[in-house]
Amino acid sequence: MQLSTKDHGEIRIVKVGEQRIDAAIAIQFKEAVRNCAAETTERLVLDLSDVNFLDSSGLGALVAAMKLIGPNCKLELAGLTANVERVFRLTRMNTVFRIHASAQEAIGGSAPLADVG
Amino acid sequence: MNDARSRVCVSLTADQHAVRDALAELTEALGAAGLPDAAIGTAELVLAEVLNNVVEHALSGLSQGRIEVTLRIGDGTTIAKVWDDGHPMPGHALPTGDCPDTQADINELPEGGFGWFLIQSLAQDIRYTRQPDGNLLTFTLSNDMAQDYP
Repeated sequence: MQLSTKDHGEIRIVKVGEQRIDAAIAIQFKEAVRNCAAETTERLVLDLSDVNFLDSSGLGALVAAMKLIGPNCKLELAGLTANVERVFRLTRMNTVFRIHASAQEAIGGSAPLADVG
Repeated sequence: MNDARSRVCVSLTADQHAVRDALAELTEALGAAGLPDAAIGTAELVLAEVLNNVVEHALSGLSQGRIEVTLRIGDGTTIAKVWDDGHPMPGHALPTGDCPDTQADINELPEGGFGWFLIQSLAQDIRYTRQPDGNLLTFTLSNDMAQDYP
């Protein structure tokens, strides 16, 4: 699972390096996203700009990850490609997740991201 | 029937990684036939949901189960046939494809049940037939560029 993490204050940006979030990797993806949230993370923003395919298994994995991360950390999404955005729109999951145009927009500024560890 | 410009047939086993490989082959054929990206994206999603359902339900517990997908790519539409030698659909009928309730409380949000909703939202003329040797699902997909990301 290719996930890389950068912190910006209490916002943690997770760049998803996988091109597909599908039934073949849904369970591993859910666990990997869950494990990205640190105790001090208030907002976990998944940058999905490299993901060009997401099926209902992938959607289910995101919903499950949001529940697992719990009430103290918000799971948000950024950089949805056209194919991925459509799945959220058709299922109305775009009303459940906060969705940003890009990771940069999610952190609300243009300052460079600091590497974690 | 459509006047097929090209036809592609892929056989696969009951495995999610085999589904990935099959989808790559099928979308390559759609691209080679000149379909726009939006139509290819629609076809890939519908085929993925159908094949995932076959692997998870029809061929559940049947490691030797077989699936065959045929696409007849015509000028305006693509006709898909998906056959498998697994268990029949419950009641020998198509699921209703209602959208799960996404306006529920966070802890009550559905984590599944979207597959048939997406299939029925994006494909047309969906028909299921239980045959003596397996299941046959047929459906039609639009190749139209105007159908830009419904």
